[in-house]
Amino acid sequence: MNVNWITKIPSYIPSAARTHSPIQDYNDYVYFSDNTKGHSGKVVKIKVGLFSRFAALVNPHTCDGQTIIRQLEALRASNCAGPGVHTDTQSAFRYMLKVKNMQVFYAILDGKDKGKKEIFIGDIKADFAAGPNKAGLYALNTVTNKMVPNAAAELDQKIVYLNGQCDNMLDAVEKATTALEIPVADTNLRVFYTPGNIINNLGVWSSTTQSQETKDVITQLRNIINLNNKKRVLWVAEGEGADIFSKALDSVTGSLATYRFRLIDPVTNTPALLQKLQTKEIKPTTSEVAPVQYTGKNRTATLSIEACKQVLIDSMKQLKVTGYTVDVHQEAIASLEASGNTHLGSNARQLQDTAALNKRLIPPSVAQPKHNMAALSFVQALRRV
Amino acid sequence: MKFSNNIVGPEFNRADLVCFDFGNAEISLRLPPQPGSAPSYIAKSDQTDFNDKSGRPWATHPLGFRIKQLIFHSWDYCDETSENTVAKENLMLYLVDIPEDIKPEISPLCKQKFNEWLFYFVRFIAVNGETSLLGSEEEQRGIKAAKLPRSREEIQQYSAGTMEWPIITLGDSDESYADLEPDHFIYIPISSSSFLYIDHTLSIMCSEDSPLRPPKRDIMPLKREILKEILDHIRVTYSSEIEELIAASN
Repeated sequence: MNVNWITKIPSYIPSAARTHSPIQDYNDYVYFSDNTKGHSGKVVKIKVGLFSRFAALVNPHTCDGQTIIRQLEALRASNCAGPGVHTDTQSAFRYMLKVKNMQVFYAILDGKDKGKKEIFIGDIKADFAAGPNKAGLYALNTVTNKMVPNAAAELDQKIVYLNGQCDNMLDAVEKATTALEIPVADTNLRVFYTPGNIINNLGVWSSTTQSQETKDVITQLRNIINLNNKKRVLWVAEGEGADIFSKALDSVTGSLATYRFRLIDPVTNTPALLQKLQTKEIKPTTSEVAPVQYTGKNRTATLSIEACKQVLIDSMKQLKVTGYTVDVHQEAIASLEASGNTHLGSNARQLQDTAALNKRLIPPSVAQPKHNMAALSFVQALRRV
Repeated sequence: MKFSNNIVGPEFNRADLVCFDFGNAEISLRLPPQPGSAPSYIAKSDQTDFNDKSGRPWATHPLGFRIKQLIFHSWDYCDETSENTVAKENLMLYLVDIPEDIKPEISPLCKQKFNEWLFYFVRFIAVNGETSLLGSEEEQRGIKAAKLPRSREEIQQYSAGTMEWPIITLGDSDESYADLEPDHFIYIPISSSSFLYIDHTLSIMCSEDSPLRPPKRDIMPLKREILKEILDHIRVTYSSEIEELIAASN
C-alpha cells in the first residue's frame, strides 16, 4: 500500500473544514459513471468544469483511457488508502490518486444520504512523466547512432523539431522522423526536446504560474532562436511544442525573416502564435506540406479547435503561402472548415444542466429526493466526444 | 515476469513473434504488444527484402558499413500494485551490411576478430570518430565518461548456442548524465558480410522523489535482468553453409 503525504491540494475541492458540504458545492458535480451512482459502494462524483481537460487527457476508446476510468470507478470501494493514493497532510479527507499521465484530487465527504460518504473529484492535473532526458537541443551522433546534446549556434539550414508530449527522447525522435518523413540519420535534423514534467507546467495544462524549470527551458529555446537569427532554419512544432515555441518568441526582438515554420496539431493558442510569427516575419514553410496541419491523431489538438475554429480558420487564411505549398494549405483550410463538431461543448453543457438539477429546491426538513439514477454521467458524456 | 521492487513486465511467452529471414540465417524474437500502438517493425511481406522501400532507408556509418533499422519497439514495466509505469523499454534492432573492402577487418563469424574489431569500435566511439585522437588521453577520458569497456576482455558475452553475442555498455559522455546507468548494445553475427545489433535502452520514468522509483543500486541489475529476458527469447538459425564457416573460423 502506498501512502504518501502531500501538503497542498487545490482549494476548490469541497471544503473539508466540515465533512458535510454546503448546498452550493453539489451544483457543480455529476456522477462520474453509471457504476458510481451508489448501487455498489460509495457514490463518486466529479466536478463538471473538469470535462474539457479530462476529455483531452483521457480517450475512453483506448485501452489506457478505459483503465483510467476503471481506476476512478474503483474509488467507490476506496477505503481512503488504496494503491497510488496520496494523502493531504493538512486534511484527513482530501486525497490525490496518481493514474497514467494524470493526478486526480478528491475528497471523501458526507453525501446527500445521511450517514453515507461520497467521493467528490474536484481537480485533475496533467502529470506526464519527466523521463530520463533533460530539455535541450539534440542531434544524432553518427558514430553511436544515438541522440546527444548539440551546440546551439550551428543551425544554418537545419530543421529543428519541437516535440509535444513524449515519453523520452527516443519517442520524440521517432515522432520527428515520422512527421518530417526523413530518416533519423538525416544530418539536418535537430530536436529541441521538452520533457513531460515541463509540458505539465505549460498554460495549456496548468493554470498555476510557470515553474523556474519551465522558465529556464523557454529561455534556453529563446537563446537558440536569437543566436541563429540570421540563419536559415525550419522550425517544426508539434503538439505542446507549439506552446513552448510561442512562449519563447515572446521577448525575441528584431526580424526573423530567414526562419520558416510548420505547425502539426498545435496545442496552444494557435491564432496568437500565427500572429507572433507574422510580426517577427517568420514565414510558412515552402515545402509541399501544409504549414498548419491538424491530422486528427492528437486528441488534445482536435478538441481545442472547437472553441476557436472560425478564428483559427481566419488566421490560417491570412498566411502568406507561396509556391507548391498553396494547394496543400488550401486543402488544410478546407478540411478544417468541413470538419465536424467533436460535441465537446454540447456535452459539457448537458453535464452542466444535469448538475444544476442537483440544486436543492425544498427545505431541509423535508425528506431528500433519492439520487437521480437516470442522470447523464460524466463518462457517458465523455464517450460521445 | 516479476522483478525486484514490485516491478512487473509483459509475459514474453505470449508476446508477438517477429521473424526476419536473411537467406543464410533467420532470427525470431518476441515483442510484447503495446495496446493502441502502431506496428513497430517492417511489414511481414517485407521481412525477407531489406531494400529502401521497406521501413527506414539504409544509412552509411562513418566507418563505411551500412545500417538499416528493422525494429523500434517500446513497452512498459509497471508497479504491480498501482499499475503505474516505472520504466519504459525502447528496443531497436538494426541490420548492418559490411562492404567487401572491410569484411576481413570485421569478420562477424570469427569470434576473436569480431571482438577485436568491436573493441576498435569502442575506441572510435570514445573519440567521437576523431581517429587522430586514438591512443591519446582523450580516448581514455572518453571511455571512462561513456562507461565503455576498457579492454577487449571487458566486453561481455551472451551465450546463444552456435555463437556468442558480444555486449557493450554505452553511457552518455555528457557530464550532466553521469548518474544515468548506461544502455546496452548487443551484436549478433548473421553472415560473413552482415550482423545485427540491438540497442536496448531502459528509461526509468519515475521522478527522483517517487516511491515507485527503484533505488539507484537496483537499476543496473534491473536493466540486465530485462535484457536477459529479451535475449532469452531470441533465436537465430543458421544455414549449414554458415555453420561450416563458423566452425572453420573459430
